[in-house]
Amino acid sequence: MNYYSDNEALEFYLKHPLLRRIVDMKEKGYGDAVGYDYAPTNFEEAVRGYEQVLELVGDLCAGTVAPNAERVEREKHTLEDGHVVYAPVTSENLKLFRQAGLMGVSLPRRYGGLNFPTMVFTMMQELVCRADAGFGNLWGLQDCASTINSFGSDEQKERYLPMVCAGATMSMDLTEPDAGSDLQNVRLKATYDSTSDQWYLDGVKRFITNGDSDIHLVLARSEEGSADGRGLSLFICEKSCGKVKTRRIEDKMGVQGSPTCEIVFEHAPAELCGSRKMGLIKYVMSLMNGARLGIATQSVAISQAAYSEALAFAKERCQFGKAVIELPPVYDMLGNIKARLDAARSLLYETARNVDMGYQFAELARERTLTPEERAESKLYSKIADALTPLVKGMGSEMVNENVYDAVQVHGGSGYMRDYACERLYRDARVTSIYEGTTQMQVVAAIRYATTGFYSQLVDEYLSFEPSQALASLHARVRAIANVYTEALEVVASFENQEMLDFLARRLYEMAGYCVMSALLLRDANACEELFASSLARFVAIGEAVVAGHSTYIKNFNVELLNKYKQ
Amino acid sequence: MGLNIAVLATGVPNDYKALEQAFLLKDKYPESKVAVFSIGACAAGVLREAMYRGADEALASDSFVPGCHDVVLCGCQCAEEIARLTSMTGLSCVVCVRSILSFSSGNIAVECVVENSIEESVLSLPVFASVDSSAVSCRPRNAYCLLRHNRGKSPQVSHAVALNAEQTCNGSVEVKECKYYQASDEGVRTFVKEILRTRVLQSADTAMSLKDSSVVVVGGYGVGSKETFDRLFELAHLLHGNVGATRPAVDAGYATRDRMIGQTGVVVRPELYIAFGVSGHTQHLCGVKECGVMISVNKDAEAPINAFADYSIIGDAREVIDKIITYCQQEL
Repeated sequence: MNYYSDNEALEFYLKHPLLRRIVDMKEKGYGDAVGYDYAPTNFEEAVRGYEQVLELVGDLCAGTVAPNAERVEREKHTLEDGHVVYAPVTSENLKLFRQAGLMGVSLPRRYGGLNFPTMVFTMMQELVCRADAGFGNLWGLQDCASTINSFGSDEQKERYLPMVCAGATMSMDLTEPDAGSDLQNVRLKATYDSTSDQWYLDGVKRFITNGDSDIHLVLARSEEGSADGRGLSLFICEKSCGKVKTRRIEDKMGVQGSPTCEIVFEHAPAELCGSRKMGLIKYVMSLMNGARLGIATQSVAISQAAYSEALAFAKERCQFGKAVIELPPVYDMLGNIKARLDAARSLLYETARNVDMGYQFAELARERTLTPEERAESKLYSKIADALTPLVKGMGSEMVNENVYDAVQVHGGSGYMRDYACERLYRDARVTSIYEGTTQMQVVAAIRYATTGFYSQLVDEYLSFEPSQALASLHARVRAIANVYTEALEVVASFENQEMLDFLARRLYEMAGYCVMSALLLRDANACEELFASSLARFVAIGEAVVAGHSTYIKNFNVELLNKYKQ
Repeated sequence: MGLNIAVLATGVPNDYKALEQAFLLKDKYPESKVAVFSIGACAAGVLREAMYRGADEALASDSFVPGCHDVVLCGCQCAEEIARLTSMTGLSCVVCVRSILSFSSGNIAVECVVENSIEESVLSLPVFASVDSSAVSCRPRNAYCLLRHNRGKSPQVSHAVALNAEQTCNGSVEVKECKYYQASDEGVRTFVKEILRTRVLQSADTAMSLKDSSVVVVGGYGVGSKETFDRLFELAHLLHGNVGATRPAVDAGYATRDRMIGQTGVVVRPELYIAFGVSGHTQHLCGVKECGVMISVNKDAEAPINAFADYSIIGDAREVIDKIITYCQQEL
């Protein structure tokens, strides 16, 4: 088994036409080929390289990480003298990925990285999370290094990035006991000692994934007396300083491949990353966008795992004299899982491509002044990335929860037992709609793109192609649900009531999600009917029902009903 | 402080145990160089994998000169080879190594498996060592090595194979048109009637030695077991011929060493050559370069041997042997 080559959809998304532009920009004329013997000399070679490495990851995931996933739940991570001792299989997985050279995937070659685009890193993360979502977190946190790469000083890059490429693990230390969704309330104190020209951190962080990492990125209050986000800065702190202790490893529902920790900083020396006061406003936003894409990826990955498990079970399990997959209530569930999986994946890679393009333009802007056309393009790609990231994170994570629910249901009683992987997937999926910003927070981040009509514009653009004969009626139906969504937006706007908007935002968000995802999947089906057409037909059918339901709810909504919700 | 390390690969899984020991040494002493030499018919795959996992170069066996390396490692299947090389060179030798502990001032400390217990010993360099099958498994492929290879900057592997073909076969193996038969009962029956009956009648003298046989039935690693290999003797008897083997089949213990055909074994010139489960690497084929009619039975239609065979049956060697024997008994 190989998680990459077994899944044709991945090759389809890897070879998207925009990849050429992303890679051409990222490789900047393929100049690295002179100084680095593993750098590609042209686009084709780069893509061949991505495929080979994806195959390697697909092999490691199917061959080692997936079989280890069950064991990590039994072995557990332990706390020894203020530090985490990984479960033996977690250490084994990490060792394997270090040996395979997969720890600095998107970092520049001058620091020892592979210099792969976000697209490809995302695809790798899908493979890893399909095998073990918890280990996927641990491994995926290498992406924090991109924030150092974007905003750190040259000295910081030269110090920390090679460490990451060599296998140092990372963590992003944001949440505190009293600052979860509301990060403006972060209190961990950063004090500057002018005599030693050194920052020190004091305080507690909670729910930190891989909290005993080698390199911490810490959000801390650097401006004494400040109370909001403008008093926060981002710091880099190393485990080797010995002043960061893990106080507790949380006993949690799922994703047990990565320890979740409560950590204490006891006058820990740290370096300021970027400018003071920009911690939350700029750097954590960048960090969070990467992390949200990561969770969206994890959601798609768990959906894929759940679908594979449920499909295999339904083909094997016989009741009433036949395989249960032949029973309408069962193939109903399986078909829906696959439809939601394919639609979420389509949105995931569309988002990743836009993140890549936005990132490449930002890089270019650091080197030279952009032309007015480039500036406009840069702005558009970043805007699309910013609009799609909360959409794919929220929709993807809610859908994976529906998918694992159905996958367990397909298994019947067996699905409730630990003997089957779907029991773990069910628990693993649950956190995806909670961490890196709950779905409710994604709605907050996304709603302005709904009310300003940006999502509607995107859907229009995605639909602006001549569909094949076979897809013409589906094209019209997607257009129709987009119109229903736009009407609902108008209805909500006509209320002229912020509280009603906040209350209905989730419904508008879901409508936008179904419209955008249907349009994207339609485009993919038009390019490759064989892979996506049947999922598309099912997804549009589900989408129509959801959009119609929300539309009815919104049309019948009023202040009286709003008040009846208040307990 | 680096070591010059050679790994001798014969194309069997144990090669990887030896490779990992070489890589571990290189991890500890990063200036070390790991060169992998193919000394088996099927080692090309291992050579490629070695490059993907971190070897510095992959070379043909001809380039291996005993005494040029500080440490020569091989899998446990090569204990014999080790004995031969050490007796040739008078260098120190150790077998059943489980791990290499350290290297200092011209000595190396190793851990060996000796009758179910572990013993440490110190040897002076250069040293020949066979690695025990209980040693750690080999690391995975490495992304950087893959990309390096992908870019065509490490052509050593293909170069090695080409070199081998050139030096030992003088290019005399030509690519021919091959006729295929089905592995079904009917296919094998037709094959026996059309091909074997005519050929065997023409060359019906019983030869004394493998070297002079006019009919040679050869088994490769693909026959899968000694039991299946032994059935080749029944067929050879029916065809008045003799039985040969490839290097991997000998290594796997299916046949004795005197039956080995190829670069390091016997060179044969039969009129009829039938290969079962032989993939057809250069090192073997150069031992049969002047055969009359070449027939291959292999489940992989893409196997290199089919580029040289006159007739080919695509199917599992184990099943086809039974069928051929049955129809030979009926039709010959």
